[in-house]
Amino acid sequence: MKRIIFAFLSALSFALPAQAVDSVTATPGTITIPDRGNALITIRWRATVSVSSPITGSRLTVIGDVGTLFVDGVPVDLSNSQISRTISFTPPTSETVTIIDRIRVSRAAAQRIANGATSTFQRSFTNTGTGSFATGLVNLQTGPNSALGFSEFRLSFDDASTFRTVREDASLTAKLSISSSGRGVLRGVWEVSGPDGQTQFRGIGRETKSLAGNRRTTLQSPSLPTDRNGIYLVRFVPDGRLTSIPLEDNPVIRYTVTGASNGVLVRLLAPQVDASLSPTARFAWDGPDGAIGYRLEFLIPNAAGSGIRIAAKDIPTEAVRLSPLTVAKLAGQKGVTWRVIAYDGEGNPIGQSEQRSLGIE
Amino acid sequence: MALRNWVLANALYMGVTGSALAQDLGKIEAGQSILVSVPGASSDIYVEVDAIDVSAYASLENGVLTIDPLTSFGPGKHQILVYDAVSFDLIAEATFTGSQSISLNWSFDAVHEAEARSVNGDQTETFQSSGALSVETDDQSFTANVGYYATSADNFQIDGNPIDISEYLFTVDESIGGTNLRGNLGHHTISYDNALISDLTKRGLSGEFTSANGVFQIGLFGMRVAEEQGVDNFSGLAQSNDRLQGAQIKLTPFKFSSFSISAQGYEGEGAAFGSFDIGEGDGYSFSISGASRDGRVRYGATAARATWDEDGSGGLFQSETANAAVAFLSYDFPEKGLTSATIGLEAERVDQDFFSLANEALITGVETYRVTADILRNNLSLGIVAETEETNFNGDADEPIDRINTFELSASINGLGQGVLSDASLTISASVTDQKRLETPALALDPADYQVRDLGINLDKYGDIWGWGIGLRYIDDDDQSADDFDLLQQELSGYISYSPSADFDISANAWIVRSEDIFEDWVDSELDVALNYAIVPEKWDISSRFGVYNTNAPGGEDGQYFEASLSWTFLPSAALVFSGRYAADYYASESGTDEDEIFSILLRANTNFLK
Repeated sequence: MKRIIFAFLSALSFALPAQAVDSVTATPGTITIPDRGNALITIRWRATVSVSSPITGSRLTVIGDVGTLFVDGVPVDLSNSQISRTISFTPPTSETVTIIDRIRVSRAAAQRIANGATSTFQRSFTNTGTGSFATGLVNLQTGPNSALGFSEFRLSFDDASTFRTVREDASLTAKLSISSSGRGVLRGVWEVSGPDGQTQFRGIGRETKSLAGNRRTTLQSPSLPTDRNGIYLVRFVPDGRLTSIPLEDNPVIRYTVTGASNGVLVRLLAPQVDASLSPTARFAWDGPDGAIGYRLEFLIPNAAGSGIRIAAKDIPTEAVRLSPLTVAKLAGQKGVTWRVIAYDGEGNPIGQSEQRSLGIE
Repeated sequence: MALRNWVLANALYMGVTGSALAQDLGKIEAGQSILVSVPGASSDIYVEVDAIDVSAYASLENGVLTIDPLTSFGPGKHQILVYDAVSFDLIAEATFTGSQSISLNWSFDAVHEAEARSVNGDQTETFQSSGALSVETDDQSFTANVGYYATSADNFQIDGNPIDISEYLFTVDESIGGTNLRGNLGHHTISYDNALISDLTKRGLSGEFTSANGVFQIGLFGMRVAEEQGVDNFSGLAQSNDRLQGAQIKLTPFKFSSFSISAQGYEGEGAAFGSFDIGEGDGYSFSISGASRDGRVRYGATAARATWDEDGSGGLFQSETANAAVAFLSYDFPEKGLTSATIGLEAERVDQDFFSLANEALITGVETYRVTADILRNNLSLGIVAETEETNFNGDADEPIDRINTFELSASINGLGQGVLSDASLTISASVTDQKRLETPALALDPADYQVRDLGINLDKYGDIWGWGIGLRYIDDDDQSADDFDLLQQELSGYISYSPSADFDISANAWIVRSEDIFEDWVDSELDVALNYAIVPEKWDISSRFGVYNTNAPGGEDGQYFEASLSWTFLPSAALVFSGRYAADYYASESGTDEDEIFSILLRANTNFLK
């Protein structure tokens, strides 16, 4: 049973003399959710705040309280976390603050919306230090299944983890796993912040994917920067730019780049990332001082995403070709990576390379 | 191929009879030479210890092989195999017991940062530290990896704790009396079949037991439903309404075949993706899988039945029981020179109401048949996918049924003849998706037919000094419903990079997209330029970026930014970074106003410890 509810958008305002959230508007005013639910929707709230007399400091935080889904005027408990944004400005003035809100509408919520006549998602916005608030409303309706919906929207690194610590110049990518229904063009930007400035995101690559029908899609990011030490964040921002989103509402994953400068790294030279294995391929690397031998290891992923060693070779040199026996062991294996561990004269490991992927045909 | 057969046959031979022929060398201490008697061997041999090729550390004299290994082997039994390097015949086998001291390899890698930052005149000081501790035994029978994150900034803390663990994983891989045991605790992935329990990446505990002859395998797991970091609910098993558990029994009955048959089951409670209700479900499945003809033919099939109640004991949803069946078959054609080809067939019949908390991403309500082909020939790679899908499979009779046909083609050529394009690559991707209404029940919505055509062409060349690329994209979304909400997008993108030395590089990216729907058309574009220069290599570095974004999209805003940083590495593991950024409108994301002016001084230190 589907209902189409006509759009309206309203805002209630309560003006107080010193400082106040005067009004809140939302874009879009009406959102259509696939009637099977599992949709990820983005709302852009714009709160107008006025300050008519000086306030303590010059910072003001606008807070959107826990959101509620109302069906036919009755709250049906679609809660969501608070959202907030802090701005700084000099009174007396009026500022418009944009806060992006992403909410997931479950199958249960979609069912409730479909069963009701009118449905709204609403948040009360207030600012620090006053009791004044304004309420923003978005109308929700269920519609035909051609609207784009997601039953999975998972951001992770290439090994399915969401937290990584890697050495300098390691190869690292992120991936976004999506299960979608309906159709639409998913446009977005891969963004990275760091190593200088926690929230200073910059685009490193764009994605345009036309999604149609029911499908699972994995979007892979460009190579993430690992050339400088530091702490980085990665996110995928659909449909333009999302700003200052609480961590729990927008998938953000963190990685740390460290090492290399103190000489413990084994730097891989050849073959290149994802190069196909040929029987005559030469494996080469740069080892640290004090290394008298190396172990070249070939790994396949285990259930944990880390590696199981399927073949290895110990050698006293920094380059080697594989024996036919080793090549035979690798044949037919999927997801093979290789790495090199350096050993000192006592047989202790003193350095290790990144894990580099190898194509096996 | 002959060699591969040889290895497989030998592996089988060793599995059946190996230990009976082996010399037992007893206990070998760390640093001690390993001596193996190999009477009559030629000088050209391969030597492996636990599948590690140690030939470079082995010497043969008077029928005695001496191995002085690079590093000692840990406790427990180890196997030495000696092959003739010409004929690949196994000429000797031996076992020894490693020294009893368990040698652990430790590494700890972390970055610590203290930053003073001014955003439009407001100053904040933050400290953050992030990294990971890894421990593993020499033979990797035990591994542990624990990540942590500490920060003074409230909004980034894990569970509101100034310091907390992020993800962690402990693995144990042991052989006891011939039975192999593998255990995982922490964040990891469970995939038993392709329908009921698949791609489950969460925090939890799992184990796998494989009998000595490889015939029986049992898997067990318990996992948290919510994806969380932090020390809270460490095992992931603490809350019964946020936990699922399951098992697999697998039988590989034939010694000469990888054919296996398995049964899986799970039950659990938790909030499904995007839901705030605690749901409850269970299910079971049966699978077969295997490969034949030297692994060229691979196949698998799973039939599953699952029950799910979206709100547990709540009244809004009823418990639904539904079925899913998935199957695949693929074939690698025999390789001819540089040509290889794989063809695949896939079928999925998944009821509309099928839902497994252990495979939430499964597409439901579809009957899909798919053909795939992957062809590699010299420098050309070609991929083709053709599929047809019927929606609302075994679903509500009031819902319409559509057919969706999709055809996708991707081709890439590496190296385009002679001259300037000799090491460039050309990539073409094209797809057509077409939806047509099959049945419209009374009261159901009108057809929402459409056809989406997507074409992308990219030409790239990566060189040591110069790199460049150009791309074209065309998306035509033809809405064939009564709404007729068509959308047309055309995109042109390009980049260029110049890096004359390791100390200097500059790159520029630009794109422009023109979009047109039935009401209006608009253009978005962006230019981004980045520069890095090591004034004194390994000591003083500067980097700078600027970007310009323009749009006349409805409700869009333009923007510009410029940022620069100067980094002084005053110790090998410590640096001081001065940076500044100005951003306006579209790029102003930090202050909450239309302009950001940010200045920062950051002190960074690394800890890298390996033992």
